[in-house]
Amino acid sequence: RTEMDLLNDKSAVLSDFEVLDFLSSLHKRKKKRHSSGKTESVETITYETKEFLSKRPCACQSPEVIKQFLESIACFSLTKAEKLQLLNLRPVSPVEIQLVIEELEERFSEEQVEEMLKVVSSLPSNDAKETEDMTESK
Amino acid sequence: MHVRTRLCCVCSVSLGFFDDVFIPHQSLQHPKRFDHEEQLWVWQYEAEDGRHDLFMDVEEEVRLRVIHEEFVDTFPSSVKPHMGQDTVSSSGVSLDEVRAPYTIIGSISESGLGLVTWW
Repeated sequence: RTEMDLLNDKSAVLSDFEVLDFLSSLHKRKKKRHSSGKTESVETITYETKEFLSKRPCACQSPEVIKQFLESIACFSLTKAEKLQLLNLRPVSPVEIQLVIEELEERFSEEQVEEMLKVVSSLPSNDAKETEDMTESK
Repeated sequence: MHVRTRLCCVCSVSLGFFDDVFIPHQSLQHPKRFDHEEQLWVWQYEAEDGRHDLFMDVEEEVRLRVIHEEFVDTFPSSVKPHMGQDTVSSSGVSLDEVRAPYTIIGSISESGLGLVTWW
């Protein structure tokens, strides 16, 4: 058993997109190697996690999309954690957005909340992707 | 994530790749009851036109807030609790049967949480 020390438990946060991107790159690297029985559980959980993330908003994101989103949302004074939640969860209604932004009504007016939702809705959505896929396959 | 199983003290939720997510009954939407016939939790939603029973059907997608996470050392040499003692986590969920190395405790007792179809 190897003893390890935790140096910093919050050195960085990863967006869902970055996690999916990393797991996809792992998969490409592993394809070239023959998988042994030992790594089967790791491969299963990697596959299942990718399956989960592929149905989330991050599946339609890219570094350019994220950069654009962060530039657009910068005019609102939001914490890093709140911006990350908006990016990962893509809330579409006031009742959803109040779950990720603390004290929403105290900090922002109704018009500002509407504006925030507009910026978030500019993030591509899986629903749009599914409709596109269905149209293409016809 | 979706509703997986439901016992009369806790609701279990799955992410697909991870199954050890639990909502203790006190963190469900209030008022609530457990329907023994259907074996499902029910949110007794109070509307202007009276009370409506909203069932937490299995496989339905839910939105929850993570309130606690628990790491348990399942390494064989770690000290095990004495037999007969009720092992209850600090959040009130019984861990007698569940000894997963990592467990997430969630809550749906806020507006916007619970079944996605409710909102």
